[in-house]
Amino acid sequence: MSRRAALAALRLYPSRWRDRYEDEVRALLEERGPRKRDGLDLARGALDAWLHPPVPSRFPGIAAIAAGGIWTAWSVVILSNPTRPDWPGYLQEMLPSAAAAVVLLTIAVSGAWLRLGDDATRLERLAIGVALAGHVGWLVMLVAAFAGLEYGAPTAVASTAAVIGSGLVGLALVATRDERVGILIALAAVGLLVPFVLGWLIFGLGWMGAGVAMLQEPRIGRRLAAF
Amino acid sequence: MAPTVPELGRFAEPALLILVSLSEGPKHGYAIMTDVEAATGRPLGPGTLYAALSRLEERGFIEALEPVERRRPYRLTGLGSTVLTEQLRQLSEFAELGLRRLGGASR
Repeated sequence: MSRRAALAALRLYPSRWRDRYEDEVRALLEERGPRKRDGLDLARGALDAWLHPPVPSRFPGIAAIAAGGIWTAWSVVILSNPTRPDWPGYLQEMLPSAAAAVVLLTIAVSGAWLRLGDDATRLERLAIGVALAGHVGWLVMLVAAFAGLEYGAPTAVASTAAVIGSGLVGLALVATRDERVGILIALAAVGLLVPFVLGWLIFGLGWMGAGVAMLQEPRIGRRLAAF
Repeated sequence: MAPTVPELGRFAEPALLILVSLSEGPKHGYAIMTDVEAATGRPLGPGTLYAALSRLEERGFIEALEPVERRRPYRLTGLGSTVLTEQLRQLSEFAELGLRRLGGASR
């Protein structure tokens, strides 16, 4: 039973981890014999391996580029279009891509969190918390708007929290010498202070730039930056 | 300002035990496990052991050698040795401080 639980827990690890260590762990379990708590201990290790990969995932960088791209594309369309930006039905037309962009931004902000590492200060954790809660709230409100339930003040509150939170995360990254990514994320957030479509354009370009920088300068946590 | 010595991070306690175990020479996972258990009386689970080993390897404190059958030995690197020395020095200073204070309190 213990052996089966341990082997089942081994299957929970990411494939890259399993390629590197699974054979060794299996050999160890065979040599030592299984113990009652091995399954639980390995399951905990698997969770850690997923949360803290040895090689940073490219996914947050790609998500940031895609989200910024969606925002930039809409900004260019609206700027180059002679119609008013609040044309009839604009909300229904924009909502699916806006929701997709917010999902992607949530992934990008999570990537920024991983760049700060698990030794982030209390203030940095607060910024991450505000940014993630804001993005999730923003997404929920967009889905609600799509379902015809609500669009207005709550959406504005959630999106403002998301943008302020991500701006603070950008500043936190700058403070940890992750300047390029941090400045671009902060610039994207500040860009939204610029009225309407031009602000969206800065926001979109800022996140695209941050995504490119994330891919060019992979990083996991500040402690690793010491090497 | 004092020079910065990298810290051990998550799984710091098992990591320190592993570094001490490897300070007497290369060992594979099972040998580290039995050595740590013999030294501390506490078993180290396989998930904890390999989480710490992967972290130490990733940070360049230990390196993997060629596997012997399916068992891969690990050895301490120069950086790992520096980090271990600094960690043990800090622990020793802390222990001395505590003992001094206890001595003062008992007078």
